[in-house]
Amino acid sequence: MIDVDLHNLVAVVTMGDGDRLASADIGYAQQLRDAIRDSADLDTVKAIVLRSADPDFFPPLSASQRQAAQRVRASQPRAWHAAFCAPTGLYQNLAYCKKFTLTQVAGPCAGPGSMLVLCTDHTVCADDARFEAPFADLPESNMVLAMLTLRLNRAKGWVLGEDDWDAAQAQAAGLVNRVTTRQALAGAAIEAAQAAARIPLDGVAMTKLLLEAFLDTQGIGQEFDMAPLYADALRLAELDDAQESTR
Amino acid sequence: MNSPTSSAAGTQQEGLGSIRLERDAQQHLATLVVSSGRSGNPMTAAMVRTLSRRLAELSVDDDIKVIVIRGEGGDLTCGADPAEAEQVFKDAPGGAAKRVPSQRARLAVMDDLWWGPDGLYTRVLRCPKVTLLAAQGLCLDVGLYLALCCDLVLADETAVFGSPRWRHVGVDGDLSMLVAAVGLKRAKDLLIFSSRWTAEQALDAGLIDEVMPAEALEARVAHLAAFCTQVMRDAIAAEKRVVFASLAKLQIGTGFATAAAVGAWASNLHFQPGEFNFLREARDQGLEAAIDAARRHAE
Repeated sequence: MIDVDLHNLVAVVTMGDGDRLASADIGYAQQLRDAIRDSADLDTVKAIVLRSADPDFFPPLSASQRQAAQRVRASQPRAWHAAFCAPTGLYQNLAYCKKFTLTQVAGPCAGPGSMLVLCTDHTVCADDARFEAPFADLPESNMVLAMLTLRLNRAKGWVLGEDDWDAAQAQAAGLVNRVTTRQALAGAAIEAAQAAARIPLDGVAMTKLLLEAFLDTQGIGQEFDMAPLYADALRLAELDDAQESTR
Repeated sequence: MNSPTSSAAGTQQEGLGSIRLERDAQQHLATLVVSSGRSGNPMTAAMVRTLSRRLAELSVDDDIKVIVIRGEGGDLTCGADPAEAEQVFKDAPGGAAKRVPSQRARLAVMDDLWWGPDGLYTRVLRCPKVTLLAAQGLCLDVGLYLALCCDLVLADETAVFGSPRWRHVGVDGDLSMLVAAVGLKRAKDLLIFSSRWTAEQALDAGLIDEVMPAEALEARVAHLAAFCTQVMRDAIAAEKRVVFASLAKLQIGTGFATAAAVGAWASNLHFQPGEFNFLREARDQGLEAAIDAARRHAE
């Protein structure tokens, strides 16, 4: 269930069952993409807040979710690519959205949650939030986006480091813009969205156009194009692991 | 140009305000002082053109190794002079043909003043000498881009960085340098919320190199400039060329071309009911009232 609430130039998109993204649920990715795209098409919307209906934004993937996602990628590679990575897919629709986008994060944020954070313009999080790099689980993860957001050394530290990041580390690295308490989180996200919505509608369009041109020059779209290759690599790595464990 | 061995100073007066050149051939140092004589040190189009011209001259001056840019009166600059916000387009070729300045006039101004080969930001970014910015007080709009384009930025504790104008028209500059310096999401913080960063915040974000007490800035700038003048001319030239090559790989030039085009469009927005229109406010209520209204809108 995805709920969209429009109020005062801001659309709040609330993801129920968001963990379906962790299983690479194609239908769910399309619904979420449509909710974002349809909201962005409205002249009465200047900013979109993305949040989870659950208390925690995106818990780490379970083994069964990983296996389910692997099955989807193996059995429906084109549909998976179209729904998640292609210009028509969820993540590019978010990264290239023509309105300002914000994520509201509490608790653990892993896998698709971390990709949603990377693809949005602004992130407000609770002080108990923890951010796990999505690269080990999601072949559609975009390293270029991570490098632009965190800069090269920090991006590598996030990807290769042993631990996830707490809210303060994520803010220091540039992944998160504001940290607040859980109680104040929803209000802070709406406040930020409404502040962004004070820019004239034409100015919002111009700003996002400029950002889009910049992302294009930096190779964001090309990195998304690599996702099927990364998916194959991930599948082969998991096969190797399975063979190794049976020896 | 003064003789290679002399120490000399010269002032170029252009319209309101000036860009003062202090050239010391023996120390291999030139200082360009932004001085509008008005609160906040706003830069008129004439001052911007003079600054660009001075940079072009110093770029081919073999006696000069280091160029310092600083403001006079406590602020680097609050940005382009709002009093000229519309007139600057009307003064351009084809700008006065109709009541509303033409798109070609807007494009020409964006290119000529800021983003084109002779524009201020190109002149600073591609200057073959070491460029050092002494940032203090308001470093807004033009001040922010000077911080991005200069090689080294030293700031005192009073410095604030940002572009409040973006709140009213959206973002219209180059993003590639800003993102390279501070990261994508932090850059968007400045862009979308027109945040003002203190010197400490700017240091944390990677926008500037050092922060110090106000009374220490002048001496520290002089010290660092003197240190840089010890470097061989050929080494400076070679290092700067390596930087230019890296800028090309980062598509900074593409960003400048886009900035000129989008800047021209952003100067000609249509406003929805209830949105704040600075130019209309300035026409109807006067410049000071418009600036006050813009501040209230941003709060």
